[in-house]
Amino acid sequence: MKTDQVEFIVVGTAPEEMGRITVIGRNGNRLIPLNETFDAMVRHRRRRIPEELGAEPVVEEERTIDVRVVAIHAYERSLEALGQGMTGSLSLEGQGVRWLTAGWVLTKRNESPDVPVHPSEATTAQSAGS
Amino acid sequence: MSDGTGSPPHEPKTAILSGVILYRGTKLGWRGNPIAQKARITCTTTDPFVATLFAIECRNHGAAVVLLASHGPFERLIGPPNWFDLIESSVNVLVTPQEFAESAFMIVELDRSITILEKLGFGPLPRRMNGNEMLQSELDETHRLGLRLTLEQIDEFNQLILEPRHEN
Repeated sequence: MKTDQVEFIVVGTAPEEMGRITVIGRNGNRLIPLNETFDAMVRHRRRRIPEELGAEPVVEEERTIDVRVVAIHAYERSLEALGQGMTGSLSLEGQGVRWLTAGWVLTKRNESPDVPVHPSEATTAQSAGS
Repeated sequence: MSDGTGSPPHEPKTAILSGVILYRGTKLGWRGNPIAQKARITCTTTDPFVATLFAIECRNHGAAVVLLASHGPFERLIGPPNWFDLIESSVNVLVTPQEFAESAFMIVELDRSITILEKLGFGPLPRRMNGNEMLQSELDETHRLGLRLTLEQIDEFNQLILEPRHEN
């Protein structure tokens, strides 16, 4: 997976309520606005030693889903979008939400970015010191 | 602002060592993502190890650095908490990332920060991380292993950062 694809790294989930699930995690390197959709979830092979951390991730498992972002929260407020690299929660509804657990990455299948991605568009990992 | 090669011009060394410093791993010149800019919030950390992990990921996007800023000016500008603050030793400050960068008294090149952390026993550190999934994984794993600097180690890190470099 290219790091400039839309992706959200799931670290935790809240119990499903009325067909909606909230996932907590970190955004990748593209803005995630409200109503963004994801059609795939992938799990990557675990990499541990320092030399491996810069390598391209290898997909170990992939599932088709069809979910939409209906709410975004970070810093104790609702947001219209989750910035690049930011941590936050996404409330999702659609098909496949019950499969989402920590360790999965929400993404889009076969997406090729047609808009500039950071740093040229001034959108990159929030980086921080966090 | 210093370029990381010597003592900062604006503050005496003792004030820096005795005060609390906020660290931020980022890309040189990065103004922050649009949401952080609009919300006027910047995520920083009290742990240079955490900031360095962020900076390693930022190397994918440009010249990665660790910013050091005194905590004092931000005392009344502490923002709300966010997810994972605990593992990141986060302090979220209510300024834009650019404003925070402008308030930094020192900019440390990533490799220098890595070298010092490894000297303190926090290594070997990766030179690169492929994306935010890897970053999150490293933050989680190192927190689980208790790999965070003690106050004494932070002092030592600061002292080493402030030492002039002797280059040929």
